[in-house]
Amino acid sequence: MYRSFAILLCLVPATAAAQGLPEGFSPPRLLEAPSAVYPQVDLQNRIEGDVELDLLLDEAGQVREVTVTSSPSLTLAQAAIDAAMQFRFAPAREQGEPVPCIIHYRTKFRLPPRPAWALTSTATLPATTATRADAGYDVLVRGQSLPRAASDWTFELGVTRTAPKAGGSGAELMKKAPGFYISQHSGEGKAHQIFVRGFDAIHGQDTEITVSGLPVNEVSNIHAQGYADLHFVIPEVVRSLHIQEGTYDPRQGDFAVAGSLDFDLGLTERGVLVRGTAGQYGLLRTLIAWGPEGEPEETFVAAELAKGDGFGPARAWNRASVLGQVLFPLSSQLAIRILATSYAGRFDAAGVVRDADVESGKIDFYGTYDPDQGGASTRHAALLEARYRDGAVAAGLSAYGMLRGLRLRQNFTGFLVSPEGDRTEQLHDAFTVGGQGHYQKKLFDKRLSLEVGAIWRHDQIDQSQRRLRTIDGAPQAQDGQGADALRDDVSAELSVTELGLYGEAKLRAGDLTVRGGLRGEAQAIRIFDRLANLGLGDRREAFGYQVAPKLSVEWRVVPGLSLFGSYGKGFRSPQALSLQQGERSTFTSVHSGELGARILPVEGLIVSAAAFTTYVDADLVFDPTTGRTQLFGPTRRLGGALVVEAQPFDGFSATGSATYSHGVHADTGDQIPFVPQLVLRGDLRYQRPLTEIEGLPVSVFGDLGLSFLGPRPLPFQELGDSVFLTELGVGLGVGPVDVSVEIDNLFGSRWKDGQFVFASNFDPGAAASLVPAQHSTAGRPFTAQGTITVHY
Amino acid sequence: MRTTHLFPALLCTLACGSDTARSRINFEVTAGGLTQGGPVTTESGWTVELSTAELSVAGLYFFEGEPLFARVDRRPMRGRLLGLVIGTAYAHPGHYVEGEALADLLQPVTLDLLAPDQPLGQANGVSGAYNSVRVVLKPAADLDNHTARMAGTATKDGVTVRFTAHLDLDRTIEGVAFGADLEASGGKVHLAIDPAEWVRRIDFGSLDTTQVVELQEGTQPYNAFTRGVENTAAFHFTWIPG
Repeated sequence: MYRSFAILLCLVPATAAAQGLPEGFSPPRLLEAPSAVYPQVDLQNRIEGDVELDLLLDEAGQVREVTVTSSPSLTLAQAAIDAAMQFRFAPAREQGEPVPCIIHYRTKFRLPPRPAWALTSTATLPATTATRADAGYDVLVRGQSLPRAASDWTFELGVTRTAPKAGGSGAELMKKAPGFYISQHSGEGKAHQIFVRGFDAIHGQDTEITVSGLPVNEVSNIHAQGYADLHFVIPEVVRSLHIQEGTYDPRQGDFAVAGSLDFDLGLTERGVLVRGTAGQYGLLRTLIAWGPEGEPEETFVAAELAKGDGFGPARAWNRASVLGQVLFPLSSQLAIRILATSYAGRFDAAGVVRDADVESGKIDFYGTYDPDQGGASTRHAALLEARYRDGAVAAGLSAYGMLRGLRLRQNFTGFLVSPEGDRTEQLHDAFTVGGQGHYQKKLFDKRLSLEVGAIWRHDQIDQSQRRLRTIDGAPQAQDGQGADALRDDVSAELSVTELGLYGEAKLRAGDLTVRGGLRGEAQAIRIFDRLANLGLGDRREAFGYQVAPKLSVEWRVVPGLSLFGSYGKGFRSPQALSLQQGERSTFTSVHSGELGARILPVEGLIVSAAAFTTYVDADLVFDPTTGRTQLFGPTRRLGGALVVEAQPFDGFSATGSATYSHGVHADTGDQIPFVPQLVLRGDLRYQRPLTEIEGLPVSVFGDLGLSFLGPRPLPFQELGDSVFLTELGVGLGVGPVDVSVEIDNLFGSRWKDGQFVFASNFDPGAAASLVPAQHSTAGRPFTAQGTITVHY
Repeated sequence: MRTTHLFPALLCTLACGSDTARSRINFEVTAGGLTQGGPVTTESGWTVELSTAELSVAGLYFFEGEPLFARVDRRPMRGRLLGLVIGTAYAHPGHYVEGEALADLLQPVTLDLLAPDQPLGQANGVSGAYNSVRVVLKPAADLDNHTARMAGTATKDGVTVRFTAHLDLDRTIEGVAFGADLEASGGKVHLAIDPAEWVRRIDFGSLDTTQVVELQEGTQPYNAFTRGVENTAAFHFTWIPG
């Protein structure tokens, strides 16, 4: 009788009083819940689901007995039992006296998020992470993907209890990726410049980026090939970040030269999340996110509205984004996922300052020569995906459509080229449709796995570039042709179709796992160059293809130690407008190789180490005068990376990475300029329950991010500045309300976000020096903000 | 300056600006007159002696591009012999392409070409193969807002013409020859300007001999003076190792 009573109370602990239960009864409260370990066999067999438990607690809050009421597998049940036996509760009380109690407990085991370029995942690693959901006593355990190389990571993110620093978008999450450094040199709304492993990926040309299956890189963007604007990503709904550095996976496609990144979307905390942030420099941000209870994490909707005045002149920005996703499980084998996003942003940009002018006091470090730089960006997209899995067979099919708009105004060189000013305007409008499909089958007791897949994508692009007068922003006329002949440097319509096909076989034999694959890619391009033939126009077409082999080997030496050897060829498609009639569309090729190890010395600690090399046959660099990328030549890189992930105790997690890369021009041996050689990053997260005030749990939480960037090699044997930055967030939670303070650049470093070397003249009355000079863009100074988050 | 002149140089400047192997250098620049007023015989047989020869130089730009008619061959003998067999391909034949800007000196100065050599200042640049120079001429306040000024006498067959002249040019002289491989700081560049070129083609026979005459715009003497000031052959750059 007592037992039944207790069950009833504990199943509805939050509403006990409201249900008319006896006065003075308080349910048990969970104090400590070590993570469950996702069983390797279930990862390999791709088994996920909920394990329902009844826990018998004694008067001290210790778990005395665990009863499984339902489970997808015996091993999952055992994993949930093993974890539950270590739980610690504050006991249930009746009239103030501790009493035994039975509570219902659910542990959710979920397979690793699927990289967008990999519609199937091959997870088997016994390393796990756990995220505790606040609602009830549900626990989510998500397995980590088995890496195919030592430089293959999945970082669980979820909803951080502190808000994004300085109102940053989801793009800022890239900072956490090992070896990544991102720079925002032209306003809070332009795609970030990405540096990774010795590559200047510019705005995405060398990094394939997807958001839950939706490609972000833009083919033949007027500003930069592979332009990847991530401002539409709302950080709170990024469930995990999957990073593959290198080109070892046949699912990796165009732009995967340095590697690939996938932002996996999902709202890990169910219910309604409302967050408001106000801070220095006019920062205001509101977020509303809703993840319906009982629905999968993938089902959510979130809306963000943010603005800032910026930390100096010409740095104001506005951003509005809506991101929603629904996962419909139609049956135990079939599920449908729909993702939709709509985003608009506008931003001012201060541009560069000449270092010599800053040193002479001619301009402030945070000043601007041309305050009318900036732009606007829009993205509207939807994706539909069907997933099927039945025993040894898994398949998926997806299709998407996307509308993109971009306007950029920038002036890197002042009055060097034109006495009316060198401000350029770039316009890019694109309509993109595409899709992916794959089929995977496991054979021979799942020791052999075969997979084939295909991608298709078509981009219809209208783009132009012209010069604007600095004095009034009006278009400049062509030399000697009167005001009616506007100076269009580029004006074109592009039609780009890309088709890809891949196949991979994975063979597991004892402690050895071998993966071999091949990817073929074809690209067909049609160009209408409106400016060619003295403005009469010119139509051209081009076609090209690329075949990329991949091979990776894992040797599990002993439990907890795996060695990896990987080779892969990757590629990047060319800027369509650069192609001539009938020309073969020449893909840039990259050959990557890596040797590495992953070690799990103790529970909760993963150490990865890798030595890597790459060779790129035709690298690109950014040209500030034309505002576009230009050919640089063949390059090679050699480097190493060390990554440590630790969860030494519940509530605390830490990741740290150190990456060194030495890149040179393959023909001359000259160092590749502007790319940081040494990148260090550390992230710490901590939360701890403190006490209880009138029945409401009180907790503290915080996170710390540390970045160090070694001096960047610059042209003419010069070195850029090193950078050390600290981000801090601390907060206090009382019941459903969190109050927090976040600080970006804690120590107020005056640092150069971007560093460039080129000729410029920002004084129209003075003689212009044509000798390349150092320029920089100012990094964000100390920025504090306060946030209130309500979650119910 | 026409923007079309700048574009090729800039594109190369930026592309080559990615070069991490080279280094920044600086060097001193001096200038003076080549003949320092000595008698000059013109093409029409006049003997000219200058009492004033002044020029306002607003800036110097050093480039890697070779000038059209004054290529400096700095190859060793083996390279020269090889060059007889294997030709060198030059882009845009028939056009001077200034190429990458390697250094510049932007301090305006008015030169008295009859005085001893004067310092122009320190040029800042980068290491590389220097092949040509752009000379920027602009009117200067200390030259009464003129660009060039001269005075002197011309004598022929017992007839003497006393003359003065000035120009208000705002002009760049492109493609002046200069050959040097500069790898490090030190040394200096000397610019010698030959005012003989200013008068060499003037026909003084058309001028009044009874008084000091000012060369008038639109006349042959004035046009010849203008062409002489603009003539790249009037500028001689020499590298003097430090």
